[in-house]
Amino acid sequence: MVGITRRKFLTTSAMLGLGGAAGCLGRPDPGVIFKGWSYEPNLVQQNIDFFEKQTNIKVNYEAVSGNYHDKMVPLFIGKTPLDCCYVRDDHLAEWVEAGWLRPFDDLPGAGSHKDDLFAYNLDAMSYDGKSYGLPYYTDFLIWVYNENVLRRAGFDKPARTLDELTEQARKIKADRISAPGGNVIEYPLIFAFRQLDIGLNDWWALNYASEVRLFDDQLDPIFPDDVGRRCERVLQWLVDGIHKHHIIAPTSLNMGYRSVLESVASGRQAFALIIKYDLEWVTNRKNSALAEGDLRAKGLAAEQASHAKVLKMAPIPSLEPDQSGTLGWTRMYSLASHVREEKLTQAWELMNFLGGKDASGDYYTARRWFRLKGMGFAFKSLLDDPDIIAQTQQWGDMELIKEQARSVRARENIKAPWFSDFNVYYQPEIQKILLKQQSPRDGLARIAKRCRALKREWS
Amino acid sequence: MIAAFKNKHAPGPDLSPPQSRKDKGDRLFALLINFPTVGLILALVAYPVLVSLWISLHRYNLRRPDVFDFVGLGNYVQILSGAQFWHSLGVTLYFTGLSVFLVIIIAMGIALLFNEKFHGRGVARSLLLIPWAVPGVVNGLMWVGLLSEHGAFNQLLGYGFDLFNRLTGADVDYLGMASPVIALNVTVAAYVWRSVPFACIIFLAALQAIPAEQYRAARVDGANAWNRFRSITLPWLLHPVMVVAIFETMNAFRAFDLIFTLTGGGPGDATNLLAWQTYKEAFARLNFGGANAYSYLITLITMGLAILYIRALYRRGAVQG
Repeated sequence: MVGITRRKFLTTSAMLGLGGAAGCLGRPDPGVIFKGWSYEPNLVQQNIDFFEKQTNIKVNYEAVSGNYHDKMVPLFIGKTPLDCCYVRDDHLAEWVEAGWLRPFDDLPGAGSHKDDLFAYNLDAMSYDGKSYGLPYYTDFLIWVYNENVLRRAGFDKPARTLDELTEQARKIKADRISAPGGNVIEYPLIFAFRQLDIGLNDWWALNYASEVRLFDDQLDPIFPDDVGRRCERVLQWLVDGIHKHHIIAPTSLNMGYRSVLESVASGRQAFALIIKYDLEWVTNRKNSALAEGDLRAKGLAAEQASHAKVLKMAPIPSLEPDQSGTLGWTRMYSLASHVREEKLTQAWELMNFLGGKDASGDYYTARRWFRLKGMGFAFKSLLDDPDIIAQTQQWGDMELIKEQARSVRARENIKAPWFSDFNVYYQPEIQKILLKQQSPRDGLARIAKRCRALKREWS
Repeated sequence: MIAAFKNKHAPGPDLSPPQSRKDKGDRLFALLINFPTVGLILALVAYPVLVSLWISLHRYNLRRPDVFDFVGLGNYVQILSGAQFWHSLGVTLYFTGLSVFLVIIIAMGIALLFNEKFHGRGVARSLLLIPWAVPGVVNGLMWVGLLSEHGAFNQLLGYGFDLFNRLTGADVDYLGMASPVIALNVTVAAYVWRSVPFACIIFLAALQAIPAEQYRAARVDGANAWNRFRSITLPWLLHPVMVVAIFETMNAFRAFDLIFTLTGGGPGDATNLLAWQTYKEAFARLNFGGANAYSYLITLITMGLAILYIRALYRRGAVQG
């Protein structure tokens, strides 16, 4: 208190206030504001650094931690400054309907990559005939099996049909074949059937493998009376697998995808559905006890081999042997509808770099994501890239990947404005079927009824 | 005590000196300097609460943000006439009732134990606080690990089922966390594990306030341990029990992080608590009108329960205290 006069206090306060105001006025330009979920933010930042170096455009990148959807909703509602962001295909319809995304068909060079994109990716990134996204990555579910376990059970090739799969799994269980850690494989099969915002992807993939069509072109549900009642039969196979044959881990109902992946990497299961790009992860000795055990047994040190093809790809078993298909999805970059006009061109350039080619005409980020993380790409031409083929062969089968890529389908009702309502409703109902709280037919009929009501409500 | 307090403040002739001009000025000044704080509180608390109420009276889904139709109590009627609400309410009441009961019983038991003098009591009291210090999400994840396919608790429960089947000749499938009954009760256990320490601290503080003479007098009168507990300890603990019951009821009714990490509302809708349903309405369906109505229904129910507790326990505590 001593030495501070009223005049001095007022002068200092005024100077502080002016200083603060000047600081606000002179705040440096934040650049293009870009947000995405927090998957490998360091790698994203490295991509952006490369872009900034090439174009001299400044980018303000933020990795949004936690639940991306729930964090982005208030940002959009509050019109928080944002130019460009990640979008999931299952949120596209919702975010466009809410008026949060800007179509880019009017921008220069829009559609330049269209010819090189897989049809289902292109479709996934548009809504009502307008383009909203450029691909961040795309992937699909693949079927993997443990060849070693299969051989020990006396099978020389993986099951092609669900009935054959039951037979193989029952034999593995009966023979009490053990995993690398010494534990007996109690449940040869495991699925990610936990209720999550991404939905029950494994259920979709099993349906698509059996070429189930769930909705017609008007998005009216076809199930439970779809052709050959396949949807019902697939569910019945799952119910029997859990309760009758005890070949599917019941904990599947509480397992998220990462837990399934870790369980598969530890060798506790003989079969599973995993995301294609995770085949790299699950066969890498750094992550997988299965791969490490295999390479050690072969006497190969870390410098000599990083991956072991302990899990092999195969077509997803289906009801009939001639059926094929799987579930795929697209993650994309989009422009926010409240993108600042003065940043629109720069944000568009950023999008084109991240979701397309760099200044030298190379699919820089798509290639880099694949190289570092094995992540799928939406460009057809990259499938024939010698580097990509060589890398894929370390852990996967490029021919099979190409074959499966041809039969990938997005969720049929993903563009319905009521998709998120459906997503909330169908998951508990499917779980109730798997718990035998209702029959597959009754459960599917309930879901179909709800779909029709939602369609009426939103039309 | 309460009677004495009431007598002290009973109406009677006003003997206070007449208010001077200075007193009125002081009061006005006090109001003036409090105004910014009160204004801030109104802006930060009352405004959102009222806006939320206003939204709950409208059809408002963020997927169609231009539609903001006044529907009066329509959202409430729709929720109350649907099976989903009543199912979630049933699950929530079970979860809350069992959780609060267990928290009170276990915390009281531990508090009674920790109120006794024994070697290492200080360390034990400190260790007791650990679950309380664990964030809700971490707690959920910890239980996920314990109950995963190869988790310790899951294995134990599996052995338990196996033993039961062998002893009884029954053929009960062990489904682990895929069993609705196990999932719900494990969720209760996870909640109780984290909530017991707080309740324990409250009870411990109350136990330490009980005059030692009362116990000495009771011993002289020949009262055994049970009678001393029933006639001295329990009446002294009634107010803390009320505080814990209200606090834990409100917390349990709003339990969200545990469901988010542990069960996702499943299996089926076995753990679809009201707070989780509200979250799904708000952030999965973007149905903000309905979600706000759900929130108000939760508020009304917890308020109702709190009033019930106060009426049941406060009066009882006042008579005996």
